[in-house]
Amino acid sequence: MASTSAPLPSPPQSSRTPRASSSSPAAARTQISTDTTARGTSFRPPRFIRVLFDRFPIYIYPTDPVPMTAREFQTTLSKQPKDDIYGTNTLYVFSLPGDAQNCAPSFNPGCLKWQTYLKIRGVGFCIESSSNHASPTGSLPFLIAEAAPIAGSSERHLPKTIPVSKLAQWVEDNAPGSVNQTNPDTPDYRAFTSLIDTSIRQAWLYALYIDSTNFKAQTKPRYTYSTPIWPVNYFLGLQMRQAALDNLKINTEVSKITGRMIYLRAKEAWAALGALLGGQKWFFGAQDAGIFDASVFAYTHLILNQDLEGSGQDLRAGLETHANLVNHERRIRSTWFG
Amino acid sequence: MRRKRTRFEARGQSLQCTSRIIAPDVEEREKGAAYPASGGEVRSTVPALPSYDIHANDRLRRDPGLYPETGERTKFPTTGHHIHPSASSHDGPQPSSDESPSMIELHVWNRAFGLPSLDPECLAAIAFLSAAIPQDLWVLVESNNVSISPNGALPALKDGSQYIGGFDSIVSYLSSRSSGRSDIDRNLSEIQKAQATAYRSFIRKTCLPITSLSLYVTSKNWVRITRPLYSTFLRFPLQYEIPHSHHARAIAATSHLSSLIRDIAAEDSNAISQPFSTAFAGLTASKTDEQKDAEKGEKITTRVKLRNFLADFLDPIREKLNREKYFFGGSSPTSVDCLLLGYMSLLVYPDLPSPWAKEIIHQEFADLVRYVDALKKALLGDGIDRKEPEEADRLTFSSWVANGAADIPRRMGWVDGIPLEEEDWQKQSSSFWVALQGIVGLVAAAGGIFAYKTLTSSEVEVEVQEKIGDAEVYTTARAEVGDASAAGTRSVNEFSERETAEPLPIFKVEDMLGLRL
Repeated sequence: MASTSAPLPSPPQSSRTPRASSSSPAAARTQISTDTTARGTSFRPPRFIRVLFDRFPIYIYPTDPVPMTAREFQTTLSKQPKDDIYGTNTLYVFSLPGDAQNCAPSFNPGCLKWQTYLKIRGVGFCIESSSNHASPTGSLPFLIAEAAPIAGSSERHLPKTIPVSKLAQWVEDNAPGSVNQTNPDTPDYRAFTSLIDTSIRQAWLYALYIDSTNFKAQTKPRYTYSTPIWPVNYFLGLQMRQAALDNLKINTEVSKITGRMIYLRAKEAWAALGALLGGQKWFFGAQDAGIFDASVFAYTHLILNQDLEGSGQDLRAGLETHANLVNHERRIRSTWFG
Repeated sequence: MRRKRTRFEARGQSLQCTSRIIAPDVEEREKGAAYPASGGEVRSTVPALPSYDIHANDRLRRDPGLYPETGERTKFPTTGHHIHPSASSHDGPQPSSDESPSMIELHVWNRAFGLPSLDPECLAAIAFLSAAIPQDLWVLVESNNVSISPNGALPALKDGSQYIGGFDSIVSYLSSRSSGRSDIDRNLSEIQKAQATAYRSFIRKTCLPITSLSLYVTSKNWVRITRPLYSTFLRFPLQYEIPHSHHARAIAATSHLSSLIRDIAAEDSNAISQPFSTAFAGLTASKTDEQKDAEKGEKITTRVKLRNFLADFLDPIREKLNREKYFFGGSSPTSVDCLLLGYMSLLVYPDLPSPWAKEIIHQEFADLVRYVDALKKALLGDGIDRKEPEEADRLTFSSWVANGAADIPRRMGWVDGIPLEEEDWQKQSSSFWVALQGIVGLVAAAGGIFAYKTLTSSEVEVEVQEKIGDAEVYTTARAEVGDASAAGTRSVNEFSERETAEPLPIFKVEDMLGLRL
C-alpha cells in the first residue's frame, strides 16, 4: 500500500496515505459521498464508525524494497552473521555433537557410507549433527554445498542443498577425479549391493534395534540424545523399533523369521563379500577405494568398533572370521579417519 | 542345539546296527544331523523314522537324556499337531525293504497357471529338487499348510521326521545330506558361489515386488484371476483368510511403488471404459481426438515406466546370462537358475487380464523367455509325482485355527515381533496364552465372587400381587432377608384397609437357587 502511495501525483505532505489524510472531516465526507454515488445507495455509516475508521492507519511502516533480483537477495544473505557455514560443504548426519566436531564416523551406516565416500573422493567438508526433521527429503544424510563465490565480488551464490539421491552425481561433478573406475551398472555390482542392502542391513537392524540390550544401551540414547525428556524419547524409541520391525517383516519371504535366520543370512553375506574381495586391496579390483568400499566399510566399521552386546556379538563373530574384510576396514579407517 | 545333535547321533547308531541295506543312507543322515549346528532352520521332531530296530527306539525313549524333546512336544501341542501320534507305530511294523526308507516330501502351495505351484519360492524348490535328486526319491505334496514349516512359510521339505522350511535351507540341507551328490552348485568356483549368494538376494529383492504387483496388486488380475484361484483349492473359511493374507503381504512388498500402481489402474480403467463408450456412442459425446491423444500418451508413459521397472531386474540378469543356457554357463542348472525360474515363470506364463508383465517380457526380453522355457521344460516338466498329504500334514480348519491362534499375539503386536531363537516362537505364544488364561481366570473368579455377593445380598425385592375388589394391585416391598416383620410393617401400612395383616412371603435366595434342597 505504501509503495503505491509513493508515485501518486499529489501525496499529502505528511507520511500518511491518502486514506489517512481523510482524517479531516471534510475530506472524509467527500470520500464517502463519492462512494455512495458510485453505489447508488443512500447508505451512510454511523458517525462513531466513521470517527473510528478515520483514525486508521495508526502507523505506516517504511517502504518495502521493490521486488528483488536473486543476486541482491544473496548479497543480503551473505551479510548475515552465519555466513561462515556457507563457506564450506556441510554434511548433515546422525552424530553426537562431540563427534561432529572431530568429523568422527557417524553411528548410522547410511550416513557413514556417504561420509566415507566424500573423504575418499577428497571433498572438503565438515559434518553437522542433525535429525531427519532437518532434511528436505526427510532422511539423512544431505549436504549443503559450499556457496560458490560470485565472480568479481566478495559475495557468494546461494548454497545448494543436495539430497542423498543426488549426492553421487554431485560428487562426480565437484570432486577431484578418482581412479576407481568401477561401473555401478554391472550385474555383479548390483547383485552385491543388494546383498548389503538386504542381508547385512537386516542383521544390523536386528542387532541394533530388535535386540533389546543394544537398543537400550546404544541405539536409543544416540538417536534421542537431543530429546532427553522422558516420555518423548521413550515414544521416539518405540517408533524407531517398530519401523525396524516392519522393515524386517516386509523384506523376508517367510513369516516366522528369527534372529538366528537373519544372522545366518548375514554370515553367508560376509562369506560372499570376503570371497569377492579376495586378496585385493579394494572391491572389484579397483585402483582406489570407491563407493562400494564405502558402503561395506559403513557396516564393518560400526560392527567391529561398537561394543555390540547380546546377539550382536554373533554378527561380529561372523564378520571377524573373514580377515580380509577386517583388514579392509582397518585400511579405510587408518587412511581417512586416522 | 547341542541336545539335538546328541539325539541325532544316537539315532544314527541305532539305525546302523540293524540296517545294512540302507547303510549309505545312514551316512547321509549323519551328515544331515551335523547340519543343524550351522543352520537354525531344521526342526526335528519325534523320530518318526521307520524303526528298523524297535528296541533301539525303546531304549531311546527310556533314556531321557537321549530323548529330550518329548516333554517339549507335550508342552506345545499347538505347533506339534503335525506329528501324528501313530506315526512311529504305523511305520514300526513295516518290514525293512530295499526301498528308500521314506520318500522326501516337498510341501508347496497349490498348482496354478499351468505351473506346479503359485508361489515363486515353491517353484524354485520344485526346480531344485528336480535338478538335484532323482525323481523316484521325492514327491510333491500340495498341502498348502504353512504350519508344518518351521519358518512358517512354504516350501517345506519333509524328510522322515524332519521338517525344513525355506528354499535356502532346503538347498543347504540336501547339499549336505547326500555328501555333496545333490549339491548342484558343487562345480562353481569360490567367486561364483559368492555371486550365487548375491544374486539370490538380488532376485528376491527386485523380482518379488514385480510378481506381487503383477499377480496381487494389479487389481484386475487380483479380482479376476488370483483371488478366485484360491477358492478352487481351499475350503470354506480358509478361502477368505489365506488369499487375504497373501494379498496384504504383496501390498506391503509393493508399498514403495504407489505411483506405478496408480498408473496401471488408470491404464486398466481406460481399457475397460472403451466398450462402454462405444455401446453408448449415441448418448455420450465421443472423445475428441485431443483426449484420445492424451490417453494414448499416458498409456505410453505408463508402458515406459513399467518397462524400466522390469528392466531394473531383467537387464542385469540378461547381461549376466549372456545367452548361455544356464546362469553360470556350464552344462547343468544351479540354485540361481532354480530361483530365477521360480520367479520369472510367474511373470512369463500366467494369462492375466492386465498382461503388462507378460507383454513387456515377450516383446523386449525374448531371449530370457527362451531361457525360462528351456529351464521349465527340464525342471518343471510333467514327470513330477504328486501325493496327497498325510493326515497329520493336511490343512484342516482345526490345524489352521491352531496355527492362527498361536500367531495371534504376534500379529496383534502384543509380543515382540522377532525372537532370536526358533523355540522362542512357541515360548512366546504359549507364555502369552498362559498369561491370558491367568487373566481370564482371575476375571472369572472376581466375577463369581461379585455374582455371589449380589445374589446373596441380604436385601431383596418382592413383588406382591393382590386382589382388592376387582382390581389387581401390584406392590413392591424391599426388605432384609428374614426380616419379615420390617417388610410386613411397611406393607401393612400400605395395605391398611386389609383385615388380616399377613406377613409378606419373602424368599431366601438359597431357596431360589435350590441350595436348600
